[in-house]
Amino acid sequence: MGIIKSVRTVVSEIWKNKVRLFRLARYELKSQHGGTFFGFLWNFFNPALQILVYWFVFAIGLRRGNDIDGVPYIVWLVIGIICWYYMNQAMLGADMSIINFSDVLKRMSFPISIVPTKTVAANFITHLCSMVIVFAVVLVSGSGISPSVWLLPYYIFASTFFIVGYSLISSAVNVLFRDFHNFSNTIFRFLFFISPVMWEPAEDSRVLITIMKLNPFAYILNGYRDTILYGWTLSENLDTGLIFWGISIAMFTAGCVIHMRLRHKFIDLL
Amino acid sequence: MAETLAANDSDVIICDHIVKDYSLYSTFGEKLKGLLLKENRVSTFRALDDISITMKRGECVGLVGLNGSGKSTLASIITGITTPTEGSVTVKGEVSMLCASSGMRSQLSGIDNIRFKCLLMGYTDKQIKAIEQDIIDFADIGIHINQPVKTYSSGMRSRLGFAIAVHINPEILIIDEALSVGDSSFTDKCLDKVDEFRKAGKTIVFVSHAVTQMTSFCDRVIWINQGKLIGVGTPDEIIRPYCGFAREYNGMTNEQRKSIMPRLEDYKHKYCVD
Repeated sequence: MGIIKSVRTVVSEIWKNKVRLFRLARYELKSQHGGTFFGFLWNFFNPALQILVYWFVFAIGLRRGNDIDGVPYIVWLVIGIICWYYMNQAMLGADMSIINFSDVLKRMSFPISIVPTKTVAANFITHLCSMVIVFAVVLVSGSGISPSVWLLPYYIFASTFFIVGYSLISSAVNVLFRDFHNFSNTIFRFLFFISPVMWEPAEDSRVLITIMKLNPFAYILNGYRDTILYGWTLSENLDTGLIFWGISIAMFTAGCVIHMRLRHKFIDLL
Repeated sequence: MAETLAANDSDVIICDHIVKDYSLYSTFGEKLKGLLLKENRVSTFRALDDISITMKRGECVGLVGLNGSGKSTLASIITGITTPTEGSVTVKGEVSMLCASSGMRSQLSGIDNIRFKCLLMGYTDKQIKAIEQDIIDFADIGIHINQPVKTYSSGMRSRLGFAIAVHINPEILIIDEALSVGDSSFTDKCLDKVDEFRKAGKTIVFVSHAVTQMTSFCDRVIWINQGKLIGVGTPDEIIRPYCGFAREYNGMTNEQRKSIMPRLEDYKHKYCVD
């Protein structure tokens, strides 16, 4: 199957199943929180508790972190952590998505491309809940929300598109080589430290600045903070933006091709 | 390559010289080679060997064979879950495999599982609402329907699974060993439901070891052994020879088992005394 046809098939499958996808995601979340007293509310409690821990460590315990461009370090950190958590969880979840769905796939003919995407959708829902908490923190801290916040959906879309591309590749590859998930786990831990989640590279460090320019996670993380806190600066981010979309589109295309090429082999290997 | 089958308009399932090979990878390197290279040089296991059959609209076809003969592989190829290595399958209409146990989420309640599974089948919210109560009534597990499925007994699980499965309404229904669940009164209820399907003119493929059920239900029976087609005929023509073969097989040594390939004619002579 050619590249264009693969992309078209995957895109149309996802588009046709968009409603079903989110409903499947809902059941995935429901089954995750099954048996707990608070149920869906955990989608709010989890990020809130996480933020509380970071606040305790950095604002009270270590008394560390200077303001970053006039914004308290803890607020700056919280946005980064929540944004990173979304990408990290969605991508790691996507690795296992097809394997974890094997009982269904073995017995039903099912558009397989919606399996990794429904995992992304589940994380997307969780992320939107977390963002409510993030805005609460920003408001309470008195940092003020920048007027360019209306551009935040663009960055949420960009990160989701990036994750979907990755999920198509990783879910397929992981069926063939289960070691992949272990590798990606380690690689994400490394990426955490070369992305501006907890710290920003010093301005005189050329190597780090270049890494950040090429790093798609940095584009997203900076984008979240720019739109929420500092005001959007399109012209400054144009080059990193182009690199980001280049990587994302290449990954999505590769994902569609790999997925279509391997999907008939999945069932025999699951 | 033999000539292709002459297909009738009334045929809804046409399997044309189907071969299914499973690759047997023993090392990581072999797996890599087998997946990347078009030409497959790794050793394979032939699960289906040149199977050609057709099924007509509204027909109820039984599929018999010993364990590992390839019945389930054939069923999943017809369902479209897996693809044949060689040959082609044409299926006209929507197929659904009736599976009682798969796709259950143990953390979810019975009701949520009904909705979840219908969703997997591609039902909309409205359609699910319309059949939900029927499924609950059919499963007949009382107050447990609101409890998480992990608390169910295995019988309750299968009842729920089967209740969901029979309310899905495809044109072609594949029943793979699913009727041997629950107690006998529930099995009767299920058989009644299958009979209803049959009367409604649905095509049914019935994979089972329960040969008595098959005799009463099926219009035709297909016997496969070690991936090869042994015979196709009315239940009377196939069931008794097959049962005879199965009994003989039980008494064989492993050596004999490996080499035997039954011929329908021989067993017909032996076991169909008119």
